[in-house]
Amino acid sequence: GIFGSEMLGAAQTFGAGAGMSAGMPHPSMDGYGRPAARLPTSQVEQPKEQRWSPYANNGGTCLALAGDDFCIIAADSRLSQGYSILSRTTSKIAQLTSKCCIASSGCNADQTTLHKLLKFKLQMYQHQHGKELATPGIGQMLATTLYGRRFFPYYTFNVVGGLDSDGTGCVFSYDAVGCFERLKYSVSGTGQALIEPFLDNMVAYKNTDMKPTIDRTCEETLELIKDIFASAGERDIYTGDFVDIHIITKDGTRYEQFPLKKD
Amino acid sequence: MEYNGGCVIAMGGKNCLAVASDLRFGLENFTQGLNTPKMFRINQKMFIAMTGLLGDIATLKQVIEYKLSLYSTKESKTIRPLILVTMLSLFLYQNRFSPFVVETIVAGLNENEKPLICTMDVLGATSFSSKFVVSGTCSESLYGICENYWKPGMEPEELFKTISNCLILGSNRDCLSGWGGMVHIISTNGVETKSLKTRMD
Repeated sequence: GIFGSEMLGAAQTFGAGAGMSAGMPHPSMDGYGRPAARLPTSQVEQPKEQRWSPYANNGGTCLALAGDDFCIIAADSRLSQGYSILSRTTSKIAQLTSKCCIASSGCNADQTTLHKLLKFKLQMYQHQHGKELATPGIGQMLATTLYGRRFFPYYTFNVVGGLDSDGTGCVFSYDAVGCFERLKYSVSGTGQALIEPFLDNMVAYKNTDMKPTIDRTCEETLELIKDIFASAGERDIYTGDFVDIHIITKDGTRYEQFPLKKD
Repeated sequence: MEYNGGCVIAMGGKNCLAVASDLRFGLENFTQGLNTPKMFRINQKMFIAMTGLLGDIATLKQVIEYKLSLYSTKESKTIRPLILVTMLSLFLYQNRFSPFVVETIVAGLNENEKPLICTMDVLGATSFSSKFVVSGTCSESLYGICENYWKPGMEPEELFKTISNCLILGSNRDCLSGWGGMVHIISTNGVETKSLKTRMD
């Protein structure tokens, strides 16, 4: 009776106060007709753009060292993603011709595709010209291939090593978009910063008076490379497991695998 | 961290110790000063070396001097390396949410003449090593080269040659470090200071 009508009256008042906009709730009002409590902008979760990245860095280190009549290309065999190891026995090196090898670190997907593409191009050259492309030619070809993808690069840090037509060792070093240079030695990948100064000292004899009169032999260089990878494996988490080593001489290519620490 | 540039190495030998740093003071790509070693002597047997923001390095050096002065007054003795490390580590952590942008290296000879070297990150997390510690913009290069050249039981002369070699080779590949070098060799006979001739670029 009386209470019922009073209650009804109260409800109607509240309803009228809050329901000014045709009965729909307003965000600045709570359901009781009072202004809603506001959070400062800094505490409200802002929209963040999420984007899938087409690139991944799978780690690893690649090295090439040229001598007077030999060239050694070496790369570790660890495939990583973040802090996990995906594989301990993935090769980063591809043998392109009997006198040339390429080693690439960076994105494994781009590396595999790039090696496949290069092998295809070299096969075409072989069919069209009746001979293998020489190592400096391969060097130039790789540069143009990489620059062809200037606006969606191959995320690979390549090192090409082999014997040129005179039989002298040559090494070519690249960035991701094809800037290249012929050198006596080159290293790329996650262990680059660790290894490069050591090679400056040992191969280019920088900052030392002890330049030997006789150059290192192929066997001595091989031992040096094994030591280098062992040191890099100590400090770089992405380098380890095994080292694949290809030794190119005028007699052909020899392959060796050297174990590293598995941690 | 990479605004001023610089690098530091500390190496332990047989009853001796060596600390080396470059001399560059830079403002990103501009080289302002050529005589700024980043090592500071604490007493006859101890050095502190820092890399990172030079302003914070200078401030931290003054803070350490102040704390050590208080320590020696209260305790009436010279501080031991491990105590300094702990003190510094705690102090750096006190600024957990507004850290000093420095990576510190503490190098000192204990009473038993054994070297103590340790490195700390911006928050004071310590990492002791019996071999060597490095810090700076070219720390990866320094790790690589020290790993190859360090060997146990080096006497002061050999330690000096090794640490100089490592500093020069490591900093040569880094544009933000270099422009000269300085080495302090700490042994029971005292502290010997030597300057290094390096590439001036």
